[in-house]
Amino acid sequence: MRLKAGLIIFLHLIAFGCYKAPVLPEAELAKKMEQRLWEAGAFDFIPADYEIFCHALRIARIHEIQAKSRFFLWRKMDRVRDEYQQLIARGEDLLRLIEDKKRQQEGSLISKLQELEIIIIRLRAISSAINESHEIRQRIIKTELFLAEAQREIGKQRYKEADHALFSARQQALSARQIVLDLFERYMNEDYLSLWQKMAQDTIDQSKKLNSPVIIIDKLERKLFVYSKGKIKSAYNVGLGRFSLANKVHAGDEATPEGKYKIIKKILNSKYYKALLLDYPNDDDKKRFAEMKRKGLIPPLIGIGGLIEIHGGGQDGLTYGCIAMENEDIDEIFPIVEIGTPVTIVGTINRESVILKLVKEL
Amino acid sequence: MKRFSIFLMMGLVLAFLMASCAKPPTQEMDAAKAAVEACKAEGADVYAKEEFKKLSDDLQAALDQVTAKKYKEAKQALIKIAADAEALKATIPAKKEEAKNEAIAAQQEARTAIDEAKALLEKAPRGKGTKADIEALKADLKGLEDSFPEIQAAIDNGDFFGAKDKAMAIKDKANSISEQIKQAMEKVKK
Repeated sequence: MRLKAGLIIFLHLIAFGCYKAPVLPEAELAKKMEQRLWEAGAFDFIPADYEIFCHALRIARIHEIQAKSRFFLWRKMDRVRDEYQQLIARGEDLLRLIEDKKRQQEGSLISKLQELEIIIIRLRAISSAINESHEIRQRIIKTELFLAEAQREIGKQRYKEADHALFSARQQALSARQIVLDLFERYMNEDYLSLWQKMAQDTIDQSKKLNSPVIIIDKLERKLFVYSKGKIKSAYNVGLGRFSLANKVHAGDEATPEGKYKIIKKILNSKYYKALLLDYPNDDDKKRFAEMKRKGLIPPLIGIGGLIEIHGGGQDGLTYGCIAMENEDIDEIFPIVEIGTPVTIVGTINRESVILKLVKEL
Repeated sequence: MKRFSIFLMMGLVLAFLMASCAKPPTQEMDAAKAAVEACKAEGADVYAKEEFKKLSDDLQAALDQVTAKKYKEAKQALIKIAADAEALKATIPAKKEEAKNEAIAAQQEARTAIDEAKALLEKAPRGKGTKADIEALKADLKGLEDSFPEIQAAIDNGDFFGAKDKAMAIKDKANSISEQIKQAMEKVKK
């Protein structure tokens, strides 16, 4: 009888002891939480916290396995449940942390992107205004390509990649900016601005003294002004060469000279409608050319150049250093100027130039 | 009572022997780890992110079972993981090829867009009102041409998604340049 009872108890113990504990819903939730963290990008945004979370999840899982493998009377599933519940709560905190980090990073990337976009808008405006576009425009395009890439990566929440693209965009934008700053170095220099203003004022005063018209050309503003008796009579838009901001030094540099010149020939039937030939190179130009040649700054076979004209053909034309006007505009000035009419070409007389403002803001 | 005690002792000894004789499935562990690593080396973490994550999780769960000395369950799981890893690895070359083909197609589209813009530029009248615009657009296209080899470089580096993104950006830009050329041409017509 006793043997029978012992056997029954033993078999019951075995049956309950081997009874497989049910899957804990908390374990499933904790696992899902880990998946949510991974999908949210925990590995990228909070790698250390994520690592700790995963480690704790593994420990909880081991505890679960160990608890389940214990004899049913000694199973302490509540402890394991607590562990998982704590992990789920921690996971919620981490998800919020990731969202905060994402918002922060996205905000900072977007502000970097917008900053670069503003630089690009300014660079585009400057390059369009001065036509000296090749190097600048190429870099602008490259910057825009990187910006598009960055934007796409931000959309995909791939912030590291977006930051990398923004870095490359910045490099290109800075290099375009440097080209612009180099081009405008003289235009931002007070000594040059004063000199050009004085040259223009002297010429205006001359028109007053001689009672005859004079021409002043502002290269930066691309304007030709006709003054008579010290007063402005008319102003026209003009087109210049690709490297018009530079002072002409030698043949083929496609720059427009700066200095005091005069008209030496009026050409009625020019290749570009009508033309007024200037006396470039003047003595100052020849002196500067000789000095630069002596210093080896100009290759030996290159000459000083010439045939600098104010001509028709349309102000939009890119010249090799001449000043191009609309045909109807040159029609207007042609009869009022004479051989000997002073023509002063300066970098700019407008200190408040919009282009200069844009350059300063770069 | 005496017999009952004997039964109890025998049961406990048997349980102890069963537990202490089991050994960790080292071979299966190594095989599963190697298979998952090989799968990653093939690019599963890039081309089959979700599946690879599941595989890694399963491996970790199996290793946790080993830690908890549940060798029998661990062994079964590890064998399955090794097989799953092999199966996933086998799908990667096709996925890679698909991504590569998409990158190449995007590269061709970018090439076409640049060529179209160039052809338009050739046709554009270089007259009054357009010369400066056309010069500027020419410079823009040069910028695109300079960036174009970056697509191939990304393809050569196996960065097919990056290559595709680059190609799409170039194509969009080239199309926008074509539009600007058309506008410049319209300006002349007016």
